[in-house]
Amino acid sequence: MNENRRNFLKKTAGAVLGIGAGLPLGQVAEGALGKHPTDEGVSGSTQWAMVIDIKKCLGEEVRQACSEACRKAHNLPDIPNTSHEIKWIWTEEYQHVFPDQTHPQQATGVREQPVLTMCNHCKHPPCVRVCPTQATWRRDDGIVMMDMHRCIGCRYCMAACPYGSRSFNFRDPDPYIAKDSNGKLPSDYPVRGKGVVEKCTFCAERIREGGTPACVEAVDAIPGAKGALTFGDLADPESGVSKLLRKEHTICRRPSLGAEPSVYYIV
Amino acid sequence: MNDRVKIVIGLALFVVLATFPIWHAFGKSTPAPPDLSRPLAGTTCVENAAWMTANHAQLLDQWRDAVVREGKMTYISTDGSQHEMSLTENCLRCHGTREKFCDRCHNYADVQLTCWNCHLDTSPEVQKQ
Repeated sequence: MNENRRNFLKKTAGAVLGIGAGLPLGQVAEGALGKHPTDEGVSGSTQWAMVIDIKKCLGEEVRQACSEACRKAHNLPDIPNTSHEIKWIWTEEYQHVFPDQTHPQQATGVREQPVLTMCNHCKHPPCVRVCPTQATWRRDDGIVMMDMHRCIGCRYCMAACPYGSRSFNFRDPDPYIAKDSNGKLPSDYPVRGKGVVEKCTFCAERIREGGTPACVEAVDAIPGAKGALTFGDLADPESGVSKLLRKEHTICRRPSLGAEPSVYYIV
Repeated sequence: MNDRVKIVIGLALFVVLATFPIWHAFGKSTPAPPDLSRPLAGTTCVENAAWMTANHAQLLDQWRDAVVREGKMTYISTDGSQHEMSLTENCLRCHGTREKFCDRCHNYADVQLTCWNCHLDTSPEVQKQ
């Protein structure tokens, strides 16, 4: 009996030592596994970004044109209940868009200034980290994309997004989509069903065809508002966004969070 | 042993009920497969017709992932020809409309489709209406 106990203790001590010796190795392996794919360097050469000139968007008709163009391009519903509404591009007050760039001594009206907001297509998107089905992911060209086929409607991404850029279809959006007199939808873009999350995609379907986002196209058609939104490739030093970012003083939303938005604002 | 009669009756009843679908359908002809809208243009499909009949669902799933996840738009079939990976912009350009093609067979086979819950039939014939 004593002999057995001695052997048992010997084996246990050996095993504990063995595990202890292997620990540093295990931590290295865990570190490599824990590294998220989105933290890796981006391999694609294109990096889409947007610059919004707040001053040029002060007119109601400019912001209206943006959201209306988006609504038409993506068959967005117009749901009166604000807790059910679907927002891709919309207006918030300056103090809510830039809560960390607001102070009580700001000139009158600045804090209440209307600012266009949309998905920031972050370099380190928190929504992507939490999605359990990889229904949302960051493409090589910087667009944070949604795969509606995979979305299970858990809304983790909505909880993770610090900018409130994602909307959930609490109900079938179809009755709230404005149709023409023949009952036809505004565009061929697939509609969404109840139970999925959606957001701005930088008009990936238009970019694929060599076009620009619908909102950018809409503001450029308004006299005086041209350049209110500028869309382009950050990786190309000669693109419109690159030139603007070099020339103008720009800010982005809540930089302290480290998500690194791709949407910049000229204040 | 006194229950033999009851057991035999019970067994007979069970056999009759269990085989109900077989003898009920006996002698009845099954409805003919639906007349699908014939391709309007082109003579060959992406793959051969028999393979497409059996595997179109898997092919469309593969196309979906390739287009949405990898941004690829062109499918190279086993005979080397290239095709755009799109149900609405490619398949239905030859096969007509959802109603005349997809729905007829899927209603016949009672296989529910979810594609059209979101995707819109953009066939020229439907758009004209």
